[in-house]
Amino acid sequence: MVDQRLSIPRYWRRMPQYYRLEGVQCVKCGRVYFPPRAVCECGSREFKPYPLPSTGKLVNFTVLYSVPVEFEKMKPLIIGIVDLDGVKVVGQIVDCMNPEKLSPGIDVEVVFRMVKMDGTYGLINYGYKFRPVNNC
Amino acid sequence: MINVKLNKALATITDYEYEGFFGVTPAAQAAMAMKEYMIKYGYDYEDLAIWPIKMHERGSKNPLAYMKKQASLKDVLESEVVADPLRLYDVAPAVDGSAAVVLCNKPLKNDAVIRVDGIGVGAYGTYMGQRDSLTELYSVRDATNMALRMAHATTNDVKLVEVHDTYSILGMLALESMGLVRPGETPRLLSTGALDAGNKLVVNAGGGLKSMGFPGGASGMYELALMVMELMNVKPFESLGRAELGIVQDMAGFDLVSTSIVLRRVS
Ligand SMILES: [Zn+2]
Repeated sequence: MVDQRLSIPRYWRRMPQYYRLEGVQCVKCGRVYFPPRAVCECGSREFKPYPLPSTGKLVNFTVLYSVPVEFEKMKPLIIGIVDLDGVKVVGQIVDCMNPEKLSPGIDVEVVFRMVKMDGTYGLINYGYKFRPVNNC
Repeated sequence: MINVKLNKALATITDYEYEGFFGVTPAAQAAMAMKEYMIKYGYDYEDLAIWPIKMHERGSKNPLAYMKKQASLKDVLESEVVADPLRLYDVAPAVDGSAAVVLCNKPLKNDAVIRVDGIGVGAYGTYMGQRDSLTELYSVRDATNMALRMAHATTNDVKLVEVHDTYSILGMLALESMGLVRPGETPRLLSTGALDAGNKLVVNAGGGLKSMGFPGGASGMYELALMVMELMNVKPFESLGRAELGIVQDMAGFDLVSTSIVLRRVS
């Protein structure tokens, strides 16, 4: 199996992000960040949670054939950048048998999936992925 | 060949909790930058294949290179896809390697003196989503400006340059972010031979990391040692002519941290 890279407590602390795509919004100026930041561009450190919308548009993508070891059985991976109402997020594009049908600008939605089995004893990591709204 | 364990190790240079965690590797990042570059400036993959072709050509004349063979357009186009549109020939091979540079403050009279005139570092955030552009490397721009300022030089004074090209697109973006080539012009200039030996600006005379190999953290020292040899006109760089100023650029991750060093021949 694969060596543990992301410790269990660290994974647990990221659950609001991995499970709910929770970003943060600056209380002073309204800027939204994902992943969350400690300090805003405006200098403020006051944030409130801001769940990102569950639909958006594809911005850029690549079909990755040479994958890290824990993704070997899922290759090729489609890695993309998705725009969720102005906040861009990087992740896998799934449920797409024909990557040639993908193009920047198409509608995508957030789905909740298994990401990988990590560690010798196989802690299962879950998180967000994206899929095209119209079948492809 | 690129293997899956190496990919896992390389992925730790991404914003690991939000990129590597989901399978993003440096090759995937470079591939998306390449796509953006191709769309922005209207290039096909065939146009960008000029980088590996030119680097292999230089490497074939460099006895220190790891890849001492020429590559044709056909070789590049028929190589396996690593991360569409990036192909195997766009990737610098991972190698073991070492280089050394001796620094001293009292050179002997008959030594050729290469002086360190300027150094600069730059850093930029890593998460791909928070960038407004994938075709400009901000850490490279900042490091280069800092180094040139310290050397009291401008981009026009630079005659030789060694850029970090672990993926061919990164070499092109580095040249453009440093201000040495106008944005979007690199493939065109390379294909006309305008960046080969004998011109105003010579890029990666030794064949870059593409033909020298990518020894991880030692890559900056590789480039530095090559640049010293280029400025001193020692074998195999006799044909470069007496260039006075060279700049070396190295980068970690995708625009994560960059270093630039300006070297000047003073005797
Ligand atoms: Zn703010």
